[in-house]
Amino acid sequence: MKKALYFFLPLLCLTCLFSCVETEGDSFVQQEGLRPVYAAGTEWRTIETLPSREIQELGKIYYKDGLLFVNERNAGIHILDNNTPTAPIFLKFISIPGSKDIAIKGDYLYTDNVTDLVVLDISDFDNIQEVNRIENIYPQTNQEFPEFYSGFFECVNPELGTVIGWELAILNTPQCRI
Amino acid sequence: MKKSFLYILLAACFGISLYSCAEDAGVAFNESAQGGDTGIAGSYARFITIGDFLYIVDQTDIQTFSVANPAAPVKINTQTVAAQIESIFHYEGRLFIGSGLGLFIYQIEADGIPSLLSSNVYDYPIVPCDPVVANDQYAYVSLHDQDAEGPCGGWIDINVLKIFDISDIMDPIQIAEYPMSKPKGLGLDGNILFVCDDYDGLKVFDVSDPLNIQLKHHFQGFTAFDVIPLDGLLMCVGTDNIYQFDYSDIENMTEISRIPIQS
Repeated sequence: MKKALYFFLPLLCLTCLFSCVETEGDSFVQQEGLRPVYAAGTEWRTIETLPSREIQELGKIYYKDGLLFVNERNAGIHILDNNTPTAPIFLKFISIPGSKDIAIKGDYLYTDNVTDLVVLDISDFDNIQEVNRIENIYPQTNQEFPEFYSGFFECVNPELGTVIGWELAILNTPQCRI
Repeated sequence: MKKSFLYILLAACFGISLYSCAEDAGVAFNESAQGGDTGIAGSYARFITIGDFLYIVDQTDIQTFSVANPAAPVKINTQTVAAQIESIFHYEGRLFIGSGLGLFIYQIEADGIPSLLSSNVYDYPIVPCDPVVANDQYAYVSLHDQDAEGPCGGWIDINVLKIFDISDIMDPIQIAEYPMSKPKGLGLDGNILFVCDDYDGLKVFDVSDPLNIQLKHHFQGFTAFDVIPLDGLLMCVGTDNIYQFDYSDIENMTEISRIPIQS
């Protein structure tokens, strides 16, 4: 009985999360919030290694053998040489739409690319290769709202494509809130 | 199969031998990040590689992939843990999963598939889920409230660090709870616990006595999200920088560099 409660309560919570905000009449409200960024078709599956650039948004970090891998939430992974921690050096940026997590085994880096798991061979930073992809490891429901956020957001319309990230915007009468 | 069992056995022996000569329980895990096969993640990690296996948690499930051939993961198991999972932490063959509902502890079996050992479900209905770090004796969990009064976040106003006694792994017991500002990522190295307390910066505690933890340092002026402690080097992600600290002499822990984040 108690166990059923653990599942029921979050469901209840999710239900209230996704219930639309009651709007008073047809009043038009401009509100700051997050807007989904869509990718049509399969262009979000393109992974590229680019020259290093500055980190534009906070994400998770991973450390291995003097290298610091910094995820830029939903954008990709920065590789830094951190052998001298007083003076870390930016090496590369791997552009990976929808990437949030990092794990490494040997020469292989695992990350998420929207709903897919991808494996990158990182033995040569000048020639990082996607060597494997397992599609749809995450259920689509994970894309329905922005993680680590609370406030207004523009409701997701799956017909517009796959959600690859979220951006701050001025929303017109947003109907979703988390 | 036999090989993976051997690996776990070896890892366990290695862990025990390390543990016996240095009372610093965090070392066994930290060592693996230096020259080993896998690295070390912050406490918000949802991906983790252990031996020939890759574990991935999403909001409700844990998936196990065999990475015996690291270039070609093969999914071997999926099981439901609970709702609102945020992170996964590994300590000597055990997986600690932080969820909004409670703390869930799994044993990695010889075939790599996790099986539930125990859980400690919180008394209140639901809170935003947060990370957990652990050693042989204790698990540390941070819980924080929502940023705004959302329909669910408004239910509970809770910002605490919880300490569980897990010496009986089948029956984790909460032994202490400390108020925090808005605790997020955690890092553990021996008796030193690093707490990212969001707008209240980074707090460094001596947790030798879990019933009476001591604040040793409090670095303010930035918003701290998550940390990796590694043999005297602390990497701390904040909203505007990744801060690095030298804590090799814990009494004189000092900031040594910043990597800017342009948000």
